[in-house]
Amino acid sequence: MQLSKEILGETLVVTVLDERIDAAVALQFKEAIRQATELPSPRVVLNMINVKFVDSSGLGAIVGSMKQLDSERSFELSGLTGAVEKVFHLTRMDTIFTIHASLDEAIDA
Amino acid sequence: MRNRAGAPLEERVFYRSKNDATLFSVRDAMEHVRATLKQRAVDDVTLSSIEIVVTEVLNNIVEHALIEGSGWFELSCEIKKNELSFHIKDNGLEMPLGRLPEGIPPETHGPRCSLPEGGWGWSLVHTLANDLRYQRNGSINHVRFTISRIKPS
Repeated sequence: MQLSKEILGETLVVTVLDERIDAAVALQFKEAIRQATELPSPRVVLNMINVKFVDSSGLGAIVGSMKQLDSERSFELSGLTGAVEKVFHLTRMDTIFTIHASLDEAIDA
Repeated sequence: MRNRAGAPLEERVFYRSKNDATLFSVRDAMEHVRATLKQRAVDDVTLSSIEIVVTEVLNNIVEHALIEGSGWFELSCEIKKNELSFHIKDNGLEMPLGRLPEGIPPETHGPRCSLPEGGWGWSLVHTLANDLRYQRNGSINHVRFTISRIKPS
């Protein structure tokens, strides 16, 4: 699972470089996020602009990624498109996460 | 496409996994299905529903029916004007109680620590697929469903 990370002010931006977060890589994804978020920051934005597909296991791993953070740290998402957006909408997880249309919007928020 | 008699030619997509299918076989199958249906001009919105439903059905087969790691699955899809008709087979364990799970989505209320980390699979399948049916014939499971085309061909 390939991720890149960047600190922008108070925000740690973690960008997923893989195109799929699915059952085949769900556990790896959660562990990679755990390592990437060891850098302290009050806010984490998971940038999903490169992700084309998330299945229910991948969605579970994204929820799990948020749950493993300290409860004071905010965990937000940006760049959900196509099938990814559809999965978040149908499962109503779009009401649980703060979701930004783009990374720029997330940084300006 | 039509043959000389003017009847529509059957258009089919077919995939058979190796005999010890894994979650990576599911990825491989989905790559094949997506590429083929895109070539046949199935629109992106319909494709995203197909990808969600077929992935969840195949994941369930690999994770729950083929638990000994020694089974296969097979997928065929008939491309029609208004819908795509899927038939998925596997040689794994029978569905518990001989039927498909109802697909009740998990509760998502409450604090962060109580949020569910799975359990949406069958609810997504029931929401997006039509005419969903399950049958056990001898040692083979059969799942059939259709997906409507947003933009008919």
